[in-house]
Amino acid sequence: MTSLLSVRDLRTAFNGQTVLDGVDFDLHPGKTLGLVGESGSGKSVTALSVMGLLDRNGKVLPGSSIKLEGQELAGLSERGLREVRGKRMAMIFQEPMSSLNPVYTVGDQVAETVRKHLGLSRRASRERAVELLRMVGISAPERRVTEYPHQLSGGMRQRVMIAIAISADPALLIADEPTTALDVTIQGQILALLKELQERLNMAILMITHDLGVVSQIADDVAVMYAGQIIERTEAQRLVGNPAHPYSRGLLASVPRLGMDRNVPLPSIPGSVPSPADWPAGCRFADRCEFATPQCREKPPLLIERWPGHEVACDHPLVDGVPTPEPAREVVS
Amino acid sequence: MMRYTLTRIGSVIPTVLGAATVAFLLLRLIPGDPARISAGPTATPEQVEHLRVQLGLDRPWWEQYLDFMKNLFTGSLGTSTRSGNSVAAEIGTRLPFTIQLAFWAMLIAIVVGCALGIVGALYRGRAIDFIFSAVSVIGVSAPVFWIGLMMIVLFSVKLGWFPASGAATPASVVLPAVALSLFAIGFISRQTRSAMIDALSMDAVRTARAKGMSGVNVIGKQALRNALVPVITVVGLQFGQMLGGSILTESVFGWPGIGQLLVNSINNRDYPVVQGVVFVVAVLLILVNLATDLLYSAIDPRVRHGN
Repeated sequence: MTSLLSVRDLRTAFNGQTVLDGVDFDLHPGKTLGLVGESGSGKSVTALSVMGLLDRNGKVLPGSSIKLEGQELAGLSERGLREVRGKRMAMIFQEPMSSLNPVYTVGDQVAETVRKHLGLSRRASRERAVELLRMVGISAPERRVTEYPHQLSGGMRQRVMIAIAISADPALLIADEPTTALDVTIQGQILALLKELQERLNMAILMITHDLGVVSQIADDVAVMYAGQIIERTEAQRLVGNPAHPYSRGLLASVPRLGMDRNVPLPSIPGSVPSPADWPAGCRFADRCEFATPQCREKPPLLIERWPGHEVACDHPLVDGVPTPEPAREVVS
Repeated sequence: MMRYTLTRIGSVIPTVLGAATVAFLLLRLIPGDPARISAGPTATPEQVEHLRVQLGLDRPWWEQYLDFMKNLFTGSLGTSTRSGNSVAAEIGTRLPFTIQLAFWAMLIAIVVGCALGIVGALYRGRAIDFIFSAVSVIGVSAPVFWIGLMMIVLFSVKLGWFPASGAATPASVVLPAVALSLFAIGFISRQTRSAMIDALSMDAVRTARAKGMSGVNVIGKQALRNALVPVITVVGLQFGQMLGGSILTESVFGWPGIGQLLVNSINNRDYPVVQGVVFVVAVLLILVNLATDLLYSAIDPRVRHGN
């Protein structure tokens, strides 16, 4: 299967400080890849790098490759990116409250995207906007198009953002924590909507989230990020059942589940993601890892396929929650 | 929208009545005897008494107040004690000049100030931003009596491009308008720059870029409209001040506006004219504020929805 989006050795720096340190992943047409990690792990920067939406201090470094349907996006001009953004790849964001422009009607904001990418007339794009709002489950869309963002709820606004995103039928949708700011019930509805639209439009989704619950609901594959790198990558169900990296296991353990003993405190990973300036020479997770050995702090582990379809960057990957004793460096795939 | 507009217009009426009351009280609250001061140091007691009756100061204050208000509704602001003309006529001959000067100065200030501010925001931290910042600091801090005189020396005396003073020809307005606009240019460009920097960092602007919109759309449509509210506030304040008569600019360029009228009337102790000018200027300010508020609601729907 050829990949729709192929990212190789993606390095991004802010003001000269590297924050993404060689990110590789593939996303296949119509599939969903979950990109998981804590705040500061680099998942949002990855998404913004792909979209070419880094702010003025951010730069994708030379040598990075971002290929969408075979076209290299890294190093493409702003003008060139504009032809791709919104048309072949679209993005929705974490903050539906502020992502829409407060001074224009919802209809305007959907219609202008339609007009830009599909070249429809003012009137036809208006009608298309109503249709799109209906597609994302907004009731009475004929009335809603004349309303302003502040008149809509958070969930509604995120639906409008989705309508904008799918308006030019993109092959790729990047969703950066699209449900984090929403109520739990609304979260479920939005995820179901994304799933439904994905099937209908055969659209690939890059789902960025810190929430492994979201991943298990929607993703086919999952890549776990830590300190600017991908440290584990496999099928979503396999990761949830069988995390091999101690960090992935820690993330899973810190998700509360129904029926847990309320008197036992929820496990958490001590400490926080080191900032790029403080990345250690060896394994970047070693300082927070309960299984870390002195060797872990010396040599950085490589992302290696330990089991078919399951890569992990750890010298002592967990099997059934127990670390393997041998540093298995020699096994290079 | 309609309801907001009507409520806002309705709220003008009590404000105007308040302004009239303040203008009325001004004359009565001046320490000493207005008739005595107004008549001048060489006046005989008979002349003072005559003036007192003419100004109506011999009657109870509430009667004077009712009279004053009644006259306002018929458009009468009293009679100048100096010229004997009606105050309304005195103001009527001066006001068009002030409005003309304020209009041109404001137009220059909006165009130049917004342009400097937008470019400064887009290139913030670069050389051009620093140059524009320096221009606006000079505009705000250079006193108009100095800049105005320098302009007269250069453009009238040396180059002979524009008349040095008066309002005889259409070209006469150029120098005073430019001089008057400098302060506003500085003010407006600073405000525009910071508002644009805020607007450009909005999530909604990032959304527009994610939609693939062009740079012109992102800057001119998505960001600028969000930046306009604070800019309009400053424009309104500046315009209100200019309409109140820019006494310094009018004096330097011999411009026959309302500011000069006010200064002359104060010097001549022509209290009915002072009172009339204060009232008219207050009404103009109220109208500018009304226009500013209505513009807010036209630009930002959250204002008219009371949010």
